[in-house]
Amino acid sequence: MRRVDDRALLVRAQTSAAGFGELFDAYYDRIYAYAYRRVGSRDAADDIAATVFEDALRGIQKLRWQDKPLVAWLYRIAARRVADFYRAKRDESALDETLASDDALFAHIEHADELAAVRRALARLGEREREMIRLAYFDELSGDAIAATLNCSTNSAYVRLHRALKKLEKELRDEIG
Amino acid sequence: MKSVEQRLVALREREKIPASLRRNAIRARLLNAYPATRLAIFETSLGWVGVAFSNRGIRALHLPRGSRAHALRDLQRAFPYGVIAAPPANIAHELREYAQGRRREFDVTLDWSALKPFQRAVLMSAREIPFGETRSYGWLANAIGKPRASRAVGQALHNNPVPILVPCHRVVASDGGLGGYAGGLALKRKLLALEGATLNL
Repeated sequence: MRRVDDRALLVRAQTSAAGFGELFDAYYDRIYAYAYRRVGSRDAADDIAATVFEDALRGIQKLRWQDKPLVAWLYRIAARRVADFYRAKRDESALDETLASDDALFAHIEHADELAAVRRALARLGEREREMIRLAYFDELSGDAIAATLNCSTNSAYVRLHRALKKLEKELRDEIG
Repeated sequence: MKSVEQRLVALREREKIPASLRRNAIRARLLNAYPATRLAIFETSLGWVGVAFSNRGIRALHLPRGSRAHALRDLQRAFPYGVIAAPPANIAHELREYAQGRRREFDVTLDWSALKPFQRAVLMSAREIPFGETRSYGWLANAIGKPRASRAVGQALHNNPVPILVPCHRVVASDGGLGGYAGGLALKRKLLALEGATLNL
């Protein structure tokens, strides 16, 4: 269903400001939350989400429907913008990137013991595995949308997610016993 | 024992994403900048010309086609979501005059927003080449401070979205040959002849 809607939404967003407003209303909060999870500040998350939609505005006339969720296109832009954010930050200070992004992801979670264990287990995964889990469980993307975001096949997205979960499970066993 | 999925869901439910503070301001700014593409075709003595334009200016010009239907079809193929409109002020008039050899310069605003910086630099320099004169690809590469980039300059000109308005037909090979032209060499020759440019062929 969503794909049919997305296709019509793309046409509206390409033809009128009101249509682009609809696209904004449909996805801004998700992109903002995506950015917030990765940078941990409201101000920076708004900055990133704003540039994502500026890029979208610039690129939308050239975007051709490819039977992929529109939100995946936005997440792909957002991934580049989050990377830019950390690049700029690294240039400014010698801040440890992974440390900062992990803290950002979980900064606002209360520290129930069990959840803290999940958090520690997640922190021990590789960045690519952690990102896989973020996309699936925190950004709540479908398999197709993850595949389109990461530019891989749906099958390989599932395989990667499955592997990341197995690894997390193992880390959790070590944590909780 | 809870599954790893259940634990992740529990973790997500505890997560608090504070609301965006600037959402409405960002929305208003973006919609204000929305460049709706409008399309227009009109006849000149060289043939039917198509233009795509936004409220910022001309985004694309399609070189003359043999018929109205042909011009319209190509324009709509390039801008499937463009809305048919009346051509912006001046442009039809100025292009008709140019086609008859009665105009040397255009007083139109171009929308460069979709172009990458390199191409924009090339086209801006090409725009300065006077009516009736020619320059080489190497000259243009020098003009933008990238003397070794002649080939990339040629590519940027080949992809010029607004030919004639940015006179890429005035850029020729350094040996006096015609070089290339996206609209075909016959048209390039025709435009240069119209301007009275001399070529050492």
